[in-house]
Amino acid sequence: MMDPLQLLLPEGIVAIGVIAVLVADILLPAGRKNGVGIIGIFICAAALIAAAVSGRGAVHQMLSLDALSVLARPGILLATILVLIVGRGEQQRDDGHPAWVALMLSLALGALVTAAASNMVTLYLGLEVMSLAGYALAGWKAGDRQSAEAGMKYVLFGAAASGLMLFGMSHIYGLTGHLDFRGIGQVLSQDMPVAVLAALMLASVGIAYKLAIVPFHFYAPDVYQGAPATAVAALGTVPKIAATAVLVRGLLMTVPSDLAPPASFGWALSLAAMASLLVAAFTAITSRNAKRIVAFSAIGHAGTIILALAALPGPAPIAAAAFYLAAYTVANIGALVCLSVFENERGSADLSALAGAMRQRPWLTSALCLFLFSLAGVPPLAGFLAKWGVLREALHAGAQLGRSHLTVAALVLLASTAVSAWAYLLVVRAAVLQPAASQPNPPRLAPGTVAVLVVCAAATIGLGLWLDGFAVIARSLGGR
Amino acid sequence: MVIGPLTWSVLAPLAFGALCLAKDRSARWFALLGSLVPLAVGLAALGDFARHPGSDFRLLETFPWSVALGASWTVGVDGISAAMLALSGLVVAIATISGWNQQRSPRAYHALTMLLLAAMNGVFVTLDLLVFYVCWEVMLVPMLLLIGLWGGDQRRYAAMKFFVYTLAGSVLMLAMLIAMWNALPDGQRTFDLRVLTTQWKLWESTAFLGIPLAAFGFLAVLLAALVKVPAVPLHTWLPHAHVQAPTAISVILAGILLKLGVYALYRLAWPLFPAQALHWGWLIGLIGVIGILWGAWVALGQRDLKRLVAYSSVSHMGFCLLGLASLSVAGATGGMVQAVTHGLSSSLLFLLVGVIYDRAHHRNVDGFGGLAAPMPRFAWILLIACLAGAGLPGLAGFPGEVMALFGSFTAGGYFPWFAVIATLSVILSAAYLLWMLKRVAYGPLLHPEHAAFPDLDARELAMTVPLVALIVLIGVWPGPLVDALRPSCEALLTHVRGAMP
Repeated sequence: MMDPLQLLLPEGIVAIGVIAVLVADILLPAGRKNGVGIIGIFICAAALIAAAVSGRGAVHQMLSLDALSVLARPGILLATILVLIVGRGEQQRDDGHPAWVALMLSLALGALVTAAASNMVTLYLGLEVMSLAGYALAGWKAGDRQSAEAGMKYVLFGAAASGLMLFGMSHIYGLTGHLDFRGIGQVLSQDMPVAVLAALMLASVGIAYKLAIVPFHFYAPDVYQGAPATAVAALGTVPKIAATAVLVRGLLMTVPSDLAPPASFGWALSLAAMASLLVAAFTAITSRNAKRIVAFSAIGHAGTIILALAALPGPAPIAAAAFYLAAYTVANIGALVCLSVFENERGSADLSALAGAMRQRPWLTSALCLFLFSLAGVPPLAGFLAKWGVLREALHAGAQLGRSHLTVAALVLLASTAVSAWAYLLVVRAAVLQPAASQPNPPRLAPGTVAVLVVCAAATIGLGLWLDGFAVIARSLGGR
Repeated sequence: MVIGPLTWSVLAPLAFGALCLAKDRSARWFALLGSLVPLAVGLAALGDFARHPGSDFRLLETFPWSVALGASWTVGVDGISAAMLALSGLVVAIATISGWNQQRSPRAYHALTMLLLAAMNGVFVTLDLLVFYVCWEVMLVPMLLLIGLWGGDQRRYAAMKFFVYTLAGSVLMLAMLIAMWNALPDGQRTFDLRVLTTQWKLWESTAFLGIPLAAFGFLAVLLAALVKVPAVPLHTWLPHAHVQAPTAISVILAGILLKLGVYALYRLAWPLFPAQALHWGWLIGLIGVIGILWGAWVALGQRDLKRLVAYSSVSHMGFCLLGLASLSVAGATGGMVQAVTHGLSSSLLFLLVGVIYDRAHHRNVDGFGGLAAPMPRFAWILLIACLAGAGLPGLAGFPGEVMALFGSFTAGGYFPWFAVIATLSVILSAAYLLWMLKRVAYGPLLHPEHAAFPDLDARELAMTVPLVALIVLIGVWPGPLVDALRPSCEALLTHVRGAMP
């Protein structure tokens, strides 16, 4: 067995980084604290390198550094780096910057732990670290009523989700005598009482909350609309990557493989997926705020990911979900960074406030459109290929494996694609097509923001053309 | 690796489109050059097919893309795609001249036109189903922005309606494409249309949602195609989009985008699902006939000139459906000839409507009269366009229509009846077009201020005269075009008949 410390090197680096940032906050004089952002970026970069070299294995029965966490780690760290770069540009003269960086790193740390969790305790630990950091990030602009409200809503819903989850976990422990996934799986492979199934579903509430799938999505629109866009960029992507990774591991390890996912669990997943897709699409078209529309779209995208997981087992559905997450992450961060610029300049991301954006900032608005079209699934962008992959798995499981509810779910995905296209077009219309009186020349964008947008745009186009992506990811999972 | 002419016909518009972004003044020149490349390639290929008729794919090129998915950049043309390629180059070149003096951000305008052209050419030349779908969808974005940014008063609504309507029409095609890919045995999965065509029995025997995959796929392509054509009752986006779109975009919309629907039926629905085409042919024919009559009838009552021409498109495109659905060589060839010639005549009509809109700033058919006096050249060209639209022998509208009707008349089943009913529309279309002609161009000059209208200038002649010349040329000498298109239609019908039980 490999040395646990070596296995957990990336997590260790980020954990030490949080402390280092907080210490730097004390040592640096007021007005010069923005250098801390650089430290945060370097810490994540170091963790990224460590993740590339730190092997696979299990840490007792608590954490499992398997192919899933190996896949999730770079995603989490890269998304964090992107958001840190943007945040540094945004908060240059903000003495609270070090605390913000520390929270972002905590979010990443919680996500890394969650993604690797193979035990209910570590799962809970990781989710709570993520949540606590997230609460503060959502309510970051304490003076701003909407931001404070967002933070409050996030806390209340998060607390309820945690409670339900702990309730389920305690039942699992009472019924099976185990907290680690493998132990639970061993008990369940002999017998699958309904009570355990119910407890498992309760225990997944915390994950569903992080993914923001129906019916645990109610906080998302308000939090997205109220919280600062940069925080939303992190909150909408990093926890999703972690939650998906741990959900896959949980499904594969606890649910007996001959039933995986068993009829009832598969049904639950595809029902949640269909509900998320439909709710997201039909509520998004009534929204009048760009961030709210992105929030509803995030619910729909989470539903799509769940749909891919309903087609488990096998590496192909995981590859489809991973590819989807990658495409979603870059487009979502890109779109929210664009919206964050507009929000800071125009005071809000309401559709009416975006009028004339194209004339004022043509490049930024074009980038926003690119990300929105990718989220809408317009080829040849990443979002299209990702959706293609999920559809392929769902239709394959539906036709070739005989789970016909997945075929229906795939058609629901297609229908919701057409409906939610209207919602994205609302943003495009507001920013591009709506004329406005002449506006002052805008200040130059921070170089970091430009760099992040270029990276996201390149990834959005590049991933869309990378048809071999699914096969490559599936091969990296094959070793498991 | 050498890049061949067909790939260039997609790459050149993209490259020139990027150059368009450089400078406002030079953008239009780059756009013109970008559209001349596919025009040249298409004409050369069409000439080759006219001289050496055949149903094979020529100018084939393949670049591997993803071996795992079986997707590749494979291009090739038969007579029909060569004609479509030439048409798209021509129509976009003419649309560029029509938008020559575009004042509002000409860089973005011309660059988006080029993106649109590249996507349309991609659909015409590709032999890969995935690339076909990608290009099919890519077209929506430039079209959305072109209508939404440079259109009329209600442009934003019209553009979004166009986008969502056509997107909704084609999403089922995505499910079809994936289900077909899944149904193929492991290791032989591909998107190559030539391979997929040979597998038509597999689509019939694979179940999808309780029906054969072939039936689902046929429905999916049909829906996507009929929205684009547009066939009644899926046509409601068209008048809106046309009325709001700027003239040049109306020209592209009527001249090429509508043809894509027919092309999708010809390239996907018929070859991939021949048994379904045999089974449902009568329904497509019926939809065609309904469109022919409904479009003509509604056009008769239109006051807005653009709406009138838009509904006449609905009517004329019905002949393409009728001809293809009749499953006779004459009918199918006639339908495709009609697709080409309607591209010429409807483009011309939209250009002429644009010409008087530029002068009078309205399009109300009752607000004109006697324009022949101040604008004799305009009146002559409008006369030719109307007569071509009405299907007068000796002009381009005639051969396609008559072949489609003839093919339908000789086909079995309900088709003779369809042909008889569709013939009625010849009267209707003569009525609405000539009535429009009379009200706009002839009679006494109703509005004295119109006497000062200048006649067509050099730019307007440059965009209309080539179309007039082609309309007359194809009208009096349709032989080469028909020769180039017929073998492909024959091969298709042989393939479809092979699926008879």
